[in-house]
Amino acid sequence: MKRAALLIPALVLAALLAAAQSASADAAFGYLHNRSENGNYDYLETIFPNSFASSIASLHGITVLKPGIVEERLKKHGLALAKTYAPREVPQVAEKIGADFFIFGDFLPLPGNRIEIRLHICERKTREVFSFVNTGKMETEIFRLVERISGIVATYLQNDGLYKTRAIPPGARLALITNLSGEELNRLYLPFLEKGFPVLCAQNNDAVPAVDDSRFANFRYISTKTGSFEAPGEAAGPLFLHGPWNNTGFDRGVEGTREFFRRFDSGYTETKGKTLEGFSKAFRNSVDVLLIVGFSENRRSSWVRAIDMKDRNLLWMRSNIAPDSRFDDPVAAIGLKIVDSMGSEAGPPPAR
Amino acid sequence: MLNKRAKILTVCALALALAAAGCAHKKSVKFSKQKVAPGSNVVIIIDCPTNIQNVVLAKFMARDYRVKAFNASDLYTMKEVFDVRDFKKLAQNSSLGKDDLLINAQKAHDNLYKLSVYNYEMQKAETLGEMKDKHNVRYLILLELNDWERVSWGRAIDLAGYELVWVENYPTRYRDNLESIIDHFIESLAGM
Repeated sequence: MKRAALLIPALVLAALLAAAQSASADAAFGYLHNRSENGNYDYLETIFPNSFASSIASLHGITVLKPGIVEERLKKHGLALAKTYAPREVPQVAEKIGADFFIFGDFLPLPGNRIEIRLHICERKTREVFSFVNTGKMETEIFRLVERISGIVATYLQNDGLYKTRAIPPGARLALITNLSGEELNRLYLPFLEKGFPVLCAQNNDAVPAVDDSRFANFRYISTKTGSFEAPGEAAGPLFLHGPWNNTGFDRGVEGTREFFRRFDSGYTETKGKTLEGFSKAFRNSVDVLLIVGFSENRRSSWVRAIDMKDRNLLWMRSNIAPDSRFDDPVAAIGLKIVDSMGSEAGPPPAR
Repeated sequence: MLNKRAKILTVCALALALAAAGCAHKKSVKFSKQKVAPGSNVVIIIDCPTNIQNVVLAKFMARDYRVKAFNASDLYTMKEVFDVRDFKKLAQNSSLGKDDLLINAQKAHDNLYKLSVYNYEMQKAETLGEMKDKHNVRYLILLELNDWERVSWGRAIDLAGYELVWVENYPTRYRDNLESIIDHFIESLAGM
């Protein structure tokens, strides 16, 4: 009897602890900046984040701080919550707020009573920023839009950075780029081929791997028009000074460096878009999805990024994929896990 | 006594499980979507000395495959196309160098690396397209032959649709030799 009396409170305590464990990390909302020049929409700058916060908290059980509380927290540090932030400022603000994730963004009313909402989610610990764009109707579907975006945010926060805009059905033709080669690559291909996903000849046409394993982790970071996952932004934009000391040689040097940064930094998304257009053409428009899969050195964990080659937008992103058993071949097990989740929807798809 | 036996059994079971886990990656793997029949126009890429390459090509020719002459180095490795590290040095030596600029340069070079991978795949796909259109090649076959206790592997790509149609990992057996592995792969490719 005594044992039972001890057991019940212990079970209750364990259940409470488990609940606390499964309750997601907290998130803090900043403002959503009005990108239009029409001041009539300014009221939405606070309405949107408050609505998202309420929806995420009530529907998904995540502790969410509204902009008012965030403002108070920042005040203690002598700071104010701004409407916009430069990329280098975001990790510092997230640190001061103290929540696991800091979410802010902007919106732009579009013709036809539509609205484009862009959110940035900065994880305090990693300082990495995930951004996505979603579009919906202004009046009639505004609640649906809020619910949809809240669903995307909650899925991302609760499922190891999961973001997916649609299912990838069997039959979709895949160009697969990974840091595996040789017989390991064959083991990764097998589940895709067996489950009816044609694998095109990207990368697998090499006898000797050409991918530099140490640099492959860079592919974790991805930039597309509608979704991106960025490394911590620490640096200010490069400055190109001009003055009476300029001469033709100096100007030429500045111009070359500027062009380099324009193509590979500030305008990288456009440069990449053009490169992928060429990639698509080289495969005679037969690629449906570009799938990038990165494995850890011991092959026991992996991440995936997928680009829809029809519009070259981010289609799918997921981190920390691991095999269920220590005794399985990790490459084959992870491959199977990826294939099995290809066909599933992750939350409501964005309106097009 | 029983306890001791149970302990030994547990240790053995654990050792077996660990050995099984260790061997998991050496399992044979095979998928064949279509037969690559004798008579097909093929290009074979194999990373080994020329005398061994000749043995491999002769084996395919003896089985009536129309083997097209092709040098694997025609598909350059990226390191030979250009070295990303050179770009890094170039920019970091720039007289415009400031700390912030260097961090930005790192990000730009990381992006450049990713673009170079896409470009490299694009160039190879164009080369394969030319192989198909100009030289009437239907299949690209890649092979790697390895010794006993390692895994030999092969892949075949149908250039009509740029699609992988055959993959095989073959754990090389003790009694295998170069010719027996090639025979095995040819039979597997042809669906015999």
